[in-house]
Amino acid sequence: MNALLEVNNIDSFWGTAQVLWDISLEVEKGKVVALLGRNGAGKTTTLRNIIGLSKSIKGSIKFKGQDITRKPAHERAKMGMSYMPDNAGVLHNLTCLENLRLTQVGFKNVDLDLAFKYFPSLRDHLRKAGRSLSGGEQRMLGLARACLTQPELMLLDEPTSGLSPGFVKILSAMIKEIRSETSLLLVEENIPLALSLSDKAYILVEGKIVFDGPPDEARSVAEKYIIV
Amino acid sequence: MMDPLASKKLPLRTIGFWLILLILLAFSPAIVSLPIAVDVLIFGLLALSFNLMFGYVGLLSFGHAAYFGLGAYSAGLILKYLDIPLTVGWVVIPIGALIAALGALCIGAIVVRRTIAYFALGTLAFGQVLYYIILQLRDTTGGSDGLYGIPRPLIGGIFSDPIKLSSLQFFYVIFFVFIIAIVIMRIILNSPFGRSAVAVRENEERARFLGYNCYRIKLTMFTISGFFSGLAGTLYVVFNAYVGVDSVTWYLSGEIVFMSLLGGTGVFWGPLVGAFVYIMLKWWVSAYIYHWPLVVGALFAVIVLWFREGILGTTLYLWRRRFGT
Repeated sequence: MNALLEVNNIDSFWGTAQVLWDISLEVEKGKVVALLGRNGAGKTTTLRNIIGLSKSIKGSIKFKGQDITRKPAHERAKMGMSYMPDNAGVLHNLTCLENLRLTQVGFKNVDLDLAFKYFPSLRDHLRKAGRSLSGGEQRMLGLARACLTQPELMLLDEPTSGLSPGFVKILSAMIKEIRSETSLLLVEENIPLALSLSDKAYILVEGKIVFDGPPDEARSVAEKYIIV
Repeated sequence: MMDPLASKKLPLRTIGFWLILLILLAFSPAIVSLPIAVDVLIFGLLALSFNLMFGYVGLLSFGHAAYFGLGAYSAGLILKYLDIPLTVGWVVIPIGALIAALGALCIGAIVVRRTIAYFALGTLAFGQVLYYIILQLRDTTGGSDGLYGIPRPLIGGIFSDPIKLSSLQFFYVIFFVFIIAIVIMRIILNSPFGRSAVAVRENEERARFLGYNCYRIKLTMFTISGFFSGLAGTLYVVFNAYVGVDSVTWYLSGEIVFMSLLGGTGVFWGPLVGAFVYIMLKWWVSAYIYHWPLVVGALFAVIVLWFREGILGTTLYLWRRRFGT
């Protein structure tokens, strides 16, 4: 087994409400894993637990064989994880360039050219404030920023949500290109797209994993639990 | 990639701005008066140091007078009680600032973990603790009477007799230290560390998943801010040869917040402008109206309600709207 990320039996709460029950999943090196489910199923909470923004009260999380369950988010990021939240995580009062340059603090060999390799149109918005970018542009910026540190694992929360088909194509091409060096855990509403890109899928229903297997088999399960 | 913001050349506009600022400040004793000019530099530096926390990290400290007082009392006590030659008495300026930074580090280690309201109350509480300690140590600190009879440092003394500086000459010493402090602040804010502080202000959670240790960033900035506040305190003591317990009270902490908001916390120079306007108002209005704080309070209400960017922030906004730059 070559697991880059191992999540073992975690439970998590939002305030007093339990959101995740006994979640276990794995992401192997160089693989794309899709995490699917309806709104409120616990997909975002799972990602937040993995990056360290939410705490699990039970279970463990291992990254590169190391137990990171109690490590803070910044240390997990330094270990080689990057995260793009569902709102893209752009800092609104900073310019596009400043947002990109944030990755240069604390990470060596960050080459801003990489951002423009995948998203050349960002060059036209470098001096624009994050808040003045459109939803699609913010998402591009969030993705570009997540790529810059050349992480070993990227956690992407609904990267194509509300975006044009053109952008979805760009994203698919990017994922295909980086997957040799970067593993991905992808939370995506566009289930056909997610399944077409992934090597493995998990389906979450009300905080519990009800399916774990290859994408081909996931489709029929997804049809049962989620509207495809 | 050619980084569009990495231009090595300083724009002509920036050089012009610095020259005008330097000339205005250097000649301020002639333009206004010496005591006002000194107050503007000292309290301007204090407000600028406060804004390192508030404007750049987004944490409102309500006890910043504590670090001003720590610097001032440390310098005053060293000059008064330690038998050091007054020609080397200038060392109290960095020493006082370092003691204030150490105080800020200790207090910051506890309070910067707290969220906005608890942070403000925590800083206020520690400020008041320091106030009561100074009040209780009457034999050493002078208690409510303040610390009197602090000797002023002298210059020379190796090849000639020590020379006593005039108040105007002291102003230029303060001016020199002020400029150095400003340059260091600018370097810090333009460094990667300064950028990371802004990221923390903008959204701490996002900064965390970008790999930033937000606690360390906030604590470092709090300590730096304490250092410069202490520096302002030492300058105050060196010029006035006196420090009163009112320099550690919540009232001064409130004045610092007011000066910063008045000038604008979103612009580096805002607090300096705020300090200038506040001090001028204090001097002029109090000459005509006994209850001058009423006027200042009304102005504060207007600024907070309708001009939240402060005087400089609003001016710059109107300028950009009019001229587009």
